[in-house]
Amino acid sequence: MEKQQKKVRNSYRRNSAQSTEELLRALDQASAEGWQLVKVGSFRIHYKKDPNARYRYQMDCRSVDDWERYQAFFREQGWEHVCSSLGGAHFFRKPWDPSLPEEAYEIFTDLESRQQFRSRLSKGALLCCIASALNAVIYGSFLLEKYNIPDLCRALCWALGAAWWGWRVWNTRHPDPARKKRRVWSAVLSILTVLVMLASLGGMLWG
Amino acid sequence: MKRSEPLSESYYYILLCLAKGANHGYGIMQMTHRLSGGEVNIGSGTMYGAVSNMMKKGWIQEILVENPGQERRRLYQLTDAGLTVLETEIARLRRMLANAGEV
Repeated sequence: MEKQQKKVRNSYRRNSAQSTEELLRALDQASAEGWQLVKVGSFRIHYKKDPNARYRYQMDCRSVDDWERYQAFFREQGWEHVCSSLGGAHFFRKPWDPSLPEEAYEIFTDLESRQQFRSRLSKGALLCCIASALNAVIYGSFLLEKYNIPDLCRALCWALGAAWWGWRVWNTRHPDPARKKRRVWSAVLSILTVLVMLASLGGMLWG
Repeated sequence: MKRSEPLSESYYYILLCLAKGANHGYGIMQMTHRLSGGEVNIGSGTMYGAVSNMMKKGWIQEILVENPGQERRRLYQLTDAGLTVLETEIARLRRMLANAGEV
């Protein structure tokens, strides 16, 4: 019985707008199946079984300067704060009501605030992109001094890393509901990154 | 006077709702819905961002009202700077509407 009431479902959470939307859809779906969100961790999402409730979830991402005011605005519109993650993502839920229109579950209702949300969401990926690009330039400059395989591998790895993070930033800031082509590109870039990393590791060991 | 940037719909309605007097967050949201005939809704995330930003700009200020035994209420009030911004925006919108009538 105890085992039935407490169950943890593990899933990877990627911090991009595309996956944020996927994550919210997954939370809504889980709630419809009776699994209610308890906590979104860095790697795992914790659910609790409650088949009598059904919620719609939303996520905001920001550093809050006045938590009381922040919560009040959400509470006043029927949102309940569920959890916050280390990265500044705040999850809210509202009881699902089939008679309400879809807009009743929106927390960003104008273009400006949506763009600001996406910009905040992509900040971490942007920093990683810049750091990776800098590393690629540093190792590239070593190559100019003296060509060697290990530095070539490192430069390639960081350059591809920068491209990967850059892709995430772009994806986050320019959401595409269709996402079919983007999924293909994401998969290609991810596979390429892994292959180059493996090749680089081999190159470094060999070098 | 320096030409100001047009206000977003949310900013405009928040300032407009406060022109009649101090109001709380939910009151602003409801009044916006009513004034716009249900066309404009201000979501919680948009509301927090707009109010925080306008407080930083000094267009609105917060008043904390203590209720014994209850949670304290937060009311928002238009400042003189906020009123000027609103009046400028209304004048801009009137001019645009008049221009539309001339064509």
